[in-house]
Amino acid sequence: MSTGAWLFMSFSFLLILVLNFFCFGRLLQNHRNDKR
Amino acid sequence: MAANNEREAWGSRMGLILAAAGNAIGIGNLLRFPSQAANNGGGAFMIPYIVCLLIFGIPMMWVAWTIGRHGGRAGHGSLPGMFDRMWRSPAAKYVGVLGLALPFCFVLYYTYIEAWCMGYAWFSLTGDYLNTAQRTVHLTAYYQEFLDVAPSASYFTGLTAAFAFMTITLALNIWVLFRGVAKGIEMLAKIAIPLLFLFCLLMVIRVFTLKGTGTALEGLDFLWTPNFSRLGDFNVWLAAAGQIFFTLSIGFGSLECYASYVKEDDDIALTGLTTAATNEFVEVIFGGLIAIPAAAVFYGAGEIQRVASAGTFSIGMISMPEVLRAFPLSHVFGTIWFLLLFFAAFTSSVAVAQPVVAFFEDEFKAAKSKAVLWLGLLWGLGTFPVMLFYKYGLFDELDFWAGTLGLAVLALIEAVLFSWIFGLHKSWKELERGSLIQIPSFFKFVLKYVTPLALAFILGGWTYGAIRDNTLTPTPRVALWLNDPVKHKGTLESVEPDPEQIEFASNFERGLREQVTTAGEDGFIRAVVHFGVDGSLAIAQVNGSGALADKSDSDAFARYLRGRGIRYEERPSPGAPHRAVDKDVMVILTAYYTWPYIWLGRGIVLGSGLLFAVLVGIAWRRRSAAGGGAAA
Repeated sequence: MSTGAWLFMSFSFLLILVLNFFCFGRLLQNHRNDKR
Repeated sequence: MAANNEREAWGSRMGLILAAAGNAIGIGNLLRFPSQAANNGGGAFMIPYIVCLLIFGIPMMWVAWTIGRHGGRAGHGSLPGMFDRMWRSPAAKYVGVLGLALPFCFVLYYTYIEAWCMGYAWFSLTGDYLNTAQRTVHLTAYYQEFLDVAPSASYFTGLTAAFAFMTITLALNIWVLFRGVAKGIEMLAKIAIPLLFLFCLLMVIRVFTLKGTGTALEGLDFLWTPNFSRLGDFNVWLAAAGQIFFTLSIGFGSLECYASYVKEDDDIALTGLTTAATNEFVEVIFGGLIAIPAAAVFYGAGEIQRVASAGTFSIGMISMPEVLRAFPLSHVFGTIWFLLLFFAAFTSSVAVAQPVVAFFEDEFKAAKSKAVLWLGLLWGLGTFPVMLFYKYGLFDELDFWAGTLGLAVLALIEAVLFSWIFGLHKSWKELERGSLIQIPSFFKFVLKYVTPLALAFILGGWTYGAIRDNTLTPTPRVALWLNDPVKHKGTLESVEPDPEQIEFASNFERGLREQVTTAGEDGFIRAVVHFGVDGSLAIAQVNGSGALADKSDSDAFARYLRGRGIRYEERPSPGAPHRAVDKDVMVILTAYYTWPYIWLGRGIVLGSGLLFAVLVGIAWRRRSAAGGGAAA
C-alpha cells in the first residue's frame, strides 16, 4: 500500500473512532450518573 | 399499543440509538460508499466527504431530531403535524405531506432490494448459484433473470422466486411494525444491529484471510490512494454530498418520527450525533474493508476498477457472490454476506415506513392494527408494479423522484423551517433542552447559512444533471444479451470501441429508440455472431421482431456491435482474466418501450402525494369539527 493510502485510511478510521469514543463515552458517563 | 391519547415510547436510550442507527445504516453503507470513494478520487474523496458530514450531515441530524421531538410533544409522529406546529400557516401541513409520500414511495422499491438480499441469502445457503460439474452459473444472467430483466430463462422463470421473497419480506416488515415501537422496531434493532456488526467483522476476517489472484491490501491501496486532482471537480463534491445525504437517511421523515417517541426532556443532541457516528463506523470502516478488498483478492488489482465502476448492485449481487463461491465455506460466507445486507435494509425499511403508521395512529386516532393494515394494503398494492415493470425503469423512476430529488427538497424545507421560519433561537433552545453535550455555537452559523446553501447546491446539482443528461424524457432501454448463458462460460464485454464506428453505433441505437417509440411496443433483434480470438466479429444471420421486425441487415448490425466494442470473452479458470475466444454465439438485443411505465412511476409518486394530502385535509377538518382547533 502506498503511503498516501495508509495516511488517508488511518486518518479517516481514527476520526470515526474518536467520534464514536466521544459519543459512547458520554452516554456511558451519563448512564453511570443516572444510576447514582 | 397506543391508546387514543397516549403515544408509544422507546424502552431505553440504547434501544433508541440502535433503532436510529439501524435506520441510517443501509445497503448504501456497504456497497455505495466504496464504489463512490473509488470512483471519485480514492482517499481524497474523504476530504469533501468529511466537510459535507460537518456542514450538513450532522447539522441535519439535529434538525430532524429537533423537529421530531417538538412534534411528538403535541402527539404528532409525522411531518404534516410537526410542520403545522412549527409554521403557523395553513400550507404547513400540506408541505409536510412530502414526509409521508416520499418515504412511502421509497419503501415500495427499497423493500424489493431487501427481498433480493433475503433471496440471495437463501440461494447461498442452498448453494443454488454454485458451479457444479453439471451446471455453470453465470451470475450476471442469474441476477438479471431473478429480476426478470433478461430475455433468457436459464435459472429462473418469470418472477415467481422474486415474488415469494418479496411476500415474506413484506410480511416481516408488517409484523415488526404491528408489534409497535418498543416491542417491534426496538427489539429488531437490538437483535439486528449487533448481528450486523458481528457479520461485518466475520466478513472482514474472511476477506483478509483469502488467498487469490491479488491481495486485500491491493484493494485498500486502490480505494484509499488519494487523487488530489479530482478535488477541483464539481461532480466529486456532489458525489460526496449525495453519499452523506443517503447514508444518514436525511429527508425521509423517519428520524423525525423516531424522535417523536422521545420524552420531552430527553437528550436528542448526543443521541443524534451517536446515530451519525455509528453509521459512519459501519460505512467508512466496514464499508471500505469488505467489497473492494474482496474484489482485489479474486479478480486481481488490474480489474478492481471494472468492479468498482459497475455500480452498487453489481458489486453486491454479482461480484461478491462470485468471489465468495470461489473459496471454501462459500455457503456460510455467502449467507452471512446477504443476511448482513438484509438486516441493514430491514432496519431501514421499518423506519421509513413508520411515519405512515404514526400518521394513521396520531391524526386519525386509528388503532395500531388498523394503521398497519392500511399501510400494508397500500404497500402491497404499490410493490406489484415495481416488481413487474422493473425492466422498464419503474424502479429507477421512483428512486429518482422519491429517493433522490424529493429527499433533497424535503431536507431543504426542513433546514429553512428550523433556522428561518420557526427561528434559529427557538429551534436551538429546543435542540439543547435536556442535551448531554454542549453543541459549539459555530453550528448556529452553519445551520442558518451553510446547511441551507449546501442543500440548495445539491438540489441544483442533481436537477442540472437530470436536465443535462436528459433523464426526464422517457427513452426505450436498449441492452445486449447472450441467448443461453448456461451454455456459455463467457460473457459479452464492452472493450475500447473502434472510433470510426462509434458514431454509427450511436445513430443506429437512436434509430432503434425512435422506431420503438413510434411503434409503442418492445423490439428485439436476434443474431448469430461469430466472434474471433483477435476481437473480430461477423454475423451469420440476423432477424428482428416486435417494433424492430424490419431489422435484418447483418452488415449494419455488425457495424453496430463493433461501434459498441462488443466482444465475447471467456475466463479460463476462476480468478483468471477474461480473454477473447473463437466462438459462435446468439446475441439478443432488447429495446424496451418504457414510456407508459415511466409515467406510471411518476403517477405513483404524484398519486401518493395527492392521497396523503386529501387524508391530511380530512384529518384536520375532523379535528376542527371536534373542536380541537389548530393542531397545536
